[in-house]
Amino acid sequence: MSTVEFAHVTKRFEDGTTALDSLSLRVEEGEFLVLLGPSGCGKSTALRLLAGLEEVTAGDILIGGNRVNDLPAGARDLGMVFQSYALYPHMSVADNLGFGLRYGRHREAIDEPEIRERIAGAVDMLGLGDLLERRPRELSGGQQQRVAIGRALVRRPRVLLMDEPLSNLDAKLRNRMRLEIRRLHELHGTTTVYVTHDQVEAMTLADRIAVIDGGRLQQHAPPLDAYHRPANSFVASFIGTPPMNLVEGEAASGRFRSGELSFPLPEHLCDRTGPGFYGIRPESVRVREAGEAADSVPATVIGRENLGSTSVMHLDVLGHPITASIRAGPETDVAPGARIAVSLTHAAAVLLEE
Amino acid sequence: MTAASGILAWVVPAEVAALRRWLPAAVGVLAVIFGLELLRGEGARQVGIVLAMVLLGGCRACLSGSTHTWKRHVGAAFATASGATGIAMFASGGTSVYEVWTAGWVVIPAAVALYWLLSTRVAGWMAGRADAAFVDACLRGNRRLEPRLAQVGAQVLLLHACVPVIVPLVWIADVAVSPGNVLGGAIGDAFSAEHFAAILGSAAFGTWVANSLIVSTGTTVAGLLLAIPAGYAFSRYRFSGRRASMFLFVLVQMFPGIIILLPYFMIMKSLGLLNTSIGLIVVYSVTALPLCVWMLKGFFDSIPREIEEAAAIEGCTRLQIFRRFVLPLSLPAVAVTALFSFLTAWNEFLLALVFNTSNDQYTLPVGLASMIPATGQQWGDFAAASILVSVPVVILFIAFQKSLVKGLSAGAIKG
Repeated sequence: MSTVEFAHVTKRFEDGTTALDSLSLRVEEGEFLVLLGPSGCGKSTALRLLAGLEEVTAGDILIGGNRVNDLPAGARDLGMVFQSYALYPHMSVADNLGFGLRYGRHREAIDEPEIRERIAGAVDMLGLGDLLERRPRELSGGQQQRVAIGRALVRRPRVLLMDEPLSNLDAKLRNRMRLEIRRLHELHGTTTVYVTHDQVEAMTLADRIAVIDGGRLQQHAPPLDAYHRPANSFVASFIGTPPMNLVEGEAASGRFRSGELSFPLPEHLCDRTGPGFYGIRPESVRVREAGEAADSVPATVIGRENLGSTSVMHLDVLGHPITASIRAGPETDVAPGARIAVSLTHAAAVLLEE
Repeated sequence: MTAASGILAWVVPAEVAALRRWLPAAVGVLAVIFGLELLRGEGARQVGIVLAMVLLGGCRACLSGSTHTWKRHVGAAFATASGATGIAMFASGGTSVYEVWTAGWVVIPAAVALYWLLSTRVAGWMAGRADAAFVDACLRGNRRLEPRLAQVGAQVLLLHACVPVIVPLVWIADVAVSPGNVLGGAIGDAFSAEHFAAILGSAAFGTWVANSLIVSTGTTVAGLLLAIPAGYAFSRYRFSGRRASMFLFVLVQMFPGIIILLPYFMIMKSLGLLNTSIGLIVVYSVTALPLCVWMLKGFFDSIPREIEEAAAIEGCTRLQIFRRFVLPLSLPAVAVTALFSFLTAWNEFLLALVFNTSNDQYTLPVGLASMIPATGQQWGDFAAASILVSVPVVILFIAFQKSLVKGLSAGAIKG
């Protein structure tokens, strides 16, 4: 187990594209860090740089405080789970698990009984008991996934890297494996760097999330912090389903204005002034009968999605698209085109500068 | 158009549909046969075949357009006449395979057409029956008949396609096992192993086999040793000149072998490699290399990179990755490449003829060729020798069949 640190790491590819732009990030010992961002944002590049599969253009990568830029992948003592699992197709499950112990750097350091013990441990932990003699192609996606995780863990690496490990699984299995991965992490406490574009995975797995966009770090914070206090409009719109409502406008003397739309700022934002984005989560938007309350603004219903316990209403608030997520009930049973009122003033709202 | 004939346009008995396709096909085959008869100059048979073409064509014409019972009768009459022509040809002609075959192409289509035209289904259809029971029976019959008729058509086609391939093989096998040195004659009339005994007993043949084995095996080994690393490098590494050299490899392949004959000869001469197996091994490995490299590169490309990356993270060196992952995973492709190199060397004639002129350095193809003038009429020996030369090739193909299919079909390995 080790800390991991990116210090102003930049990666430019030969064709001139900059995949990572001066990324600085620290992963504490035993921490589960999720690199979250849209596809092409540089999160996978960051992981591959850490793994030693790509070379750093500028900056330093430190594992356990030691600079590893020039260390080959095999010498960094990492375990990696690939999106495609990358199991060795010509080897049985048992040989897949044991290969790194028998032929990699560990050769000689670990004797055969110890290897068997570790494989047995991984097999128990991941429930692979009946599959040891099978070839990877005879396994289901979920089983292949388990073998891949087991193979990464048996070597007891200092850091475990996972590159979108769940994206090839169907939705149901993905939920189960998500829990499994978190359970394994709590069991082993291995420092983990996990790459995903799925904000649900990020929210549920991470100790801290690093949101990346355009090769730059947008926010590095615990999941709930990123959810409730996004650092900027990108993070606000990327985390949460449905995403946070953002209204671009200007705050002045306790009110927020954007064109015709004007409403009082909540108490904790009252003293803010200047241009920015007013952000409010769909579940914080309150729907009312059309009325004269001081913080009400008129809205037109565009559409409604009933999800069972909650109902997502798509509204047009004086030209701004706003979604509201409310408990399903008779009052949500409104037809598109109906005129209602909403309150956007809420204690959980945020005011973002960019 | 009445309602009934509208339905009948859709409900065509499978027999009629088949005749509509098969009769023109038969006429086409007869046209080819007519060409052959022109070469043979047999006037009576020419007339018979033209007559049969006209009659079968007439029969086909009766099956198009609107349906009438009289058309069926006329068609049947055409078929009968054609059949009679065929039988007359059969009776007057010889019993050689060719003559029976030509008469068969007249008689069999006519007989099939006549049989079907007289059947109740076709009779009913031609008479314009469109009642529900008949249409239903017709459709049911079609479902049963159509796949079978398609089968028969396919088999006839395939049989005809096989003949040009098999006939020469039968001939050479017959010459090889016939006593004496006769070309032609009836097939399988006598048997003698004298030619095989003569060839296997001759010292020269043994030398040629040894030379060919040395050269082919050497070429295979040398070719693989060069092509595998080259193909891997092209597949996995990005280096300057990569695209250019890959293009050059294809370019070399575009020129016919004869263009490099003289330069190679000069090189071989100055290196003192004329009349040696090493010389041929060098030349063959080099000429087979471009295709081998491309084949292997294509296969290496299909091995997921992540597998190698996973191995690298587990601490494998490049060489270990190559030996433990790339090589085992690409075995089918390596087998195909090896086979290709071996066969190229085994079959090559021109370069071997020019470079290795001394008797004791002949490879099999050159040795075989040398038998033609030297032995004059020894066709039996020649045939026996050429069969013996082909045997290793056939064995290799059978042995590698599985790998061949695997190696030649892309994406054979899934991660």
